[in-house]
Amino acid sequence: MADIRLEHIDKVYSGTAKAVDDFNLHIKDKEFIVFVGPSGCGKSTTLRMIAGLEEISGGDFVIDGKRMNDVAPKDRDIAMVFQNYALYPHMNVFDNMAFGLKLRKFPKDEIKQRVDNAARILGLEEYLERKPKALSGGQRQRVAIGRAIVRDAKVFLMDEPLSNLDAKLRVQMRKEIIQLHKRLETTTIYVTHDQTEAMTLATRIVIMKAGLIQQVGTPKEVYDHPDNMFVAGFIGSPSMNFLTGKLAEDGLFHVTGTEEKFEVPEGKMKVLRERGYTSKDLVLGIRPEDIHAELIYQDTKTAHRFPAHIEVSELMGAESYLYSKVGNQAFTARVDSRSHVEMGSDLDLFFDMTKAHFFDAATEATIR
Amino acid sequence: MLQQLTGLFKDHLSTDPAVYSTDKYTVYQLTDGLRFGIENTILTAREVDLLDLLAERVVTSTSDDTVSWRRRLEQTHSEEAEPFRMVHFLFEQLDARTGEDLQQLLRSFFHTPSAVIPLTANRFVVIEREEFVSENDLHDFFTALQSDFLTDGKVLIGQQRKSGDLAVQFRLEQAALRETPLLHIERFLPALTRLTLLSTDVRQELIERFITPLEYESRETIDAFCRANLNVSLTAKHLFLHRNSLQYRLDRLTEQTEIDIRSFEGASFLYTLLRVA
Repeated sequence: MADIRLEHIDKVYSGTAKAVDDFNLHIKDKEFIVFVGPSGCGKSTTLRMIAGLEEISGGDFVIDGKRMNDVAPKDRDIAMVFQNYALYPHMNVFDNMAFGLKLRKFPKDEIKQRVDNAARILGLEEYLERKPKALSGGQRQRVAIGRAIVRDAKVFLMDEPLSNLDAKLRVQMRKEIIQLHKRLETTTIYVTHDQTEAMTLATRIVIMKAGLIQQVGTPKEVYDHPDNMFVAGFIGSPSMNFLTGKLAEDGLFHVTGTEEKFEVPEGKMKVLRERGYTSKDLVLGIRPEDIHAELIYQDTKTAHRFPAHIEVSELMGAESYLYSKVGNQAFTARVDSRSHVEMGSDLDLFFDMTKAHFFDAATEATIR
Repeated sequence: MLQQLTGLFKDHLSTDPAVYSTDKYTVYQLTDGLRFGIENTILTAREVDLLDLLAERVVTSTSDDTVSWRRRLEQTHSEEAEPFRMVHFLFEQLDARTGEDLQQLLRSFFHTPSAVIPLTANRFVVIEREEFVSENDLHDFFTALQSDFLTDGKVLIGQQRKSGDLAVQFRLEQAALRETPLLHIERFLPALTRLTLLSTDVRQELIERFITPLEYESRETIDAFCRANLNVSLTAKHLFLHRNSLQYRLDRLTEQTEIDIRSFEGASFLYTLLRVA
């Protein structure tokens, strides 16, 4: 059981701006929370404050109703997995996993039982006698996770644990971490800058930028209903396309610097008008997969036809990325590979306007 | 602060090593390096907690071997005839029990006959002889240790010497550990290059150790070699020397200083020191 509350948490390094600014989050028992954001956004600092490796400058950090700010790191009942594998080179796998328990003066037979159990869960039974040097990268990372599991801590903290692995192994380990969480149900806080990891692992994602939380939500919520342009652009790959323009009196979205006009579906139009966005600067956001090449869309009322000149095309296998421009504003379409065309060709693309997002050009907030 | 403490503890406090270097005293070190001992009999647990916040507790009661090593480190000069290297550890927030666990872990990691010497409650130096652990292993070890003890700290990997003055080397490396903002694991030379620019005391000691003994020819070689971007042919041309003569000079320089001038770190250290000398 671990119910974690972070209330108005600040981190200030002397003489600099706030590294973490008024961080508020309630993490429920068994949740898998992912902190995601670009480098320097404060995600690792927040994690390190939870672990006790960094002092908390302001606010309250509470686990199960008990304030933990001044509790020594080792007494917080937290286990942490670091980015680099963090194994003792001179100990074998068994001793590496057992060390944290020996430190806490666990009886020998309990240590053995816990290590054996963790080794079974992680498929490491055959390797218990081996030294880290004789293990592959994935196996080492599994031992590092094993070191956290045996502790049976209330909370797992993971700081970019997969970033040292190659792409293929990362996908496999991701799957294993999901299965592990399902089995152990330990409250987990995971830090990454990789939005794919965030989307696939999280029960809820916390997106951060410059020390501030931008949005907290389930992967589907943040993907489908981003609160602002930063979240919209950060989550999703390739990222969301943004076109600046104005909503004219005629009810059409005029793309800046072009004659191009996009028809806005009625529901969205109503919201924009009610919020007073007629004739004001706006940003239209549309995900690459909501721009289609199939001719079937030409009969759809809500799809805007745009005669595109394809500047670059990339065939990815099942799908194809087409790069083009509206005026001088670039966009990417993600289409079925059957619609793949060569570079330099012209093609009608259909923007599914029911899927469009609108943002205030000044505040970058979603208009809803 | 020492004055105020003396006012509080009166005769029970001593700044004389001859008096406090027994197990009847708990010894502390202030940030400026000054040490004092307070009689154990009058210290309450609460006072110990408070003192731990104000100063670093110095570990005193250990084995004979450790005591003799520590004595050597505290001398002005102490020649060591065998090859050695020191690895320095500085941790944050360690209680006494964790300190003991850490010492044990350090002993298990370094090859025998290395000596693990606690300097204060959160500062250790390991003197390696005969066998030296690799930097990669040290890196892994330190990261693993951080995840177990959940404590931050820094490590300085000292210079590997064939022989030399252990005490001077220790002072320089401790200064580098104390005064430069190390990032977890740092090697001796880059830390010392930075320190050369920061601290006048250390600079003087470094100049005396590395530059003063060099004759004009060697200084000229360092200067020319660095200006030619560590290019041997170009340096030889500038100095009107045959390539082999220059190679010989570089070898001699490395032998004299025990710093590899052909490496970027070594060259930049000697060049910086030469510039400020």
